[in-house]
Amino acid sequence: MSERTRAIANSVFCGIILANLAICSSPSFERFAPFAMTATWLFAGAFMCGSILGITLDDAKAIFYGLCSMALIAVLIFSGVLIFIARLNDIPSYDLVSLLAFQQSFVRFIFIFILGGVGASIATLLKLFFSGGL
Amino acid sequence: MASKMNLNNLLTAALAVLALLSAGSIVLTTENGTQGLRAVLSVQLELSNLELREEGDPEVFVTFRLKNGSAVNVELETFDVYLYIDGHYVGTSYIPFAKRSVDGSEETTMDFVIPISPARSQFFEEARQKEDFSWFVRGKAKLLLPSFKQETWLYVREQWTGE
Repeated sequence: MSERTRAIANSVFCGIILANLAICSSPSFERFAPFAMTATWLFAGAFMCGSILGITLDDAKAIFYGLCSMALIAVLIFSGVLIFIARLNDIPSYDLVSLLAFQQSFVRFIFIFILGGVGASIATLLKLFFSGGL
Repeated sequence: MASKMNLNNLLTAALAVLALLSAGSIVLTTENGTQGLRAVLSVQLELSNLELREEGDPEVFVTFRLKNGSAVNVELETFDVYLYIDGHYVGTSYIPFAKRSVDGSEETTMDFVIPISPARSQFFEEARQKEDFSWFVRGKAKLLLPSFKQETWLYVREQWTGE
């Protein structure tokens, strides 16, 4: 598997995992998710996924794009599911739900990106330290 | 170098398995959410009785039945009732139900006493002179759905003939 393919695959997989954590930890889906979680799981997941990107990718630019893609995929799936359920059921104030989804998604994007970045930075530093590059 | 490649491949494979499980969880959550909301939206509100009492000042007793056909609990926040006689507004009633919960597959009744407004009593008296007159009741209930923790409104408009 080439470096580029692995980078894309890892970002997509991490995005799906984080989307699930975001959904399971969201108050909106509390009753419907098979595993109701707290926000801590999402933070821990973002940190873990960022660390994995930091370990598996060598280029700083690739890690940055990976983090962006991961967070974007996660919030797109999260807001998509929220809006899909609201619209499918013809909730009268679905515009409000869309707005709510936007706000929730934006906050989640920031959290995932920052915590993922912290995880990736620590992983990169450790990698450099153990390889003797630091 | 080879061991690093193996570790990378192993991590990607582990992520793939986790992503697959996560995708399954997302599909399940969406399915549950869709079914849950459809059930909640099947909550029905209907007028079950209307009775005029004229001991002293005229008052109208109105009873509504709220049927929760869903499997989840819903919360009724407020309920406004507006009463009309032969098309003329004659009175209103408002009950703030502080978090009144209606369990799944259950029904509840709500009674309202609507005094005929003195300023509107002329319409009431005029209608009473006729042999046939009709009541019209308009209700507005604020319901809290458990899923999105957001309010939704239930409206009822029903005609009631005679006394």
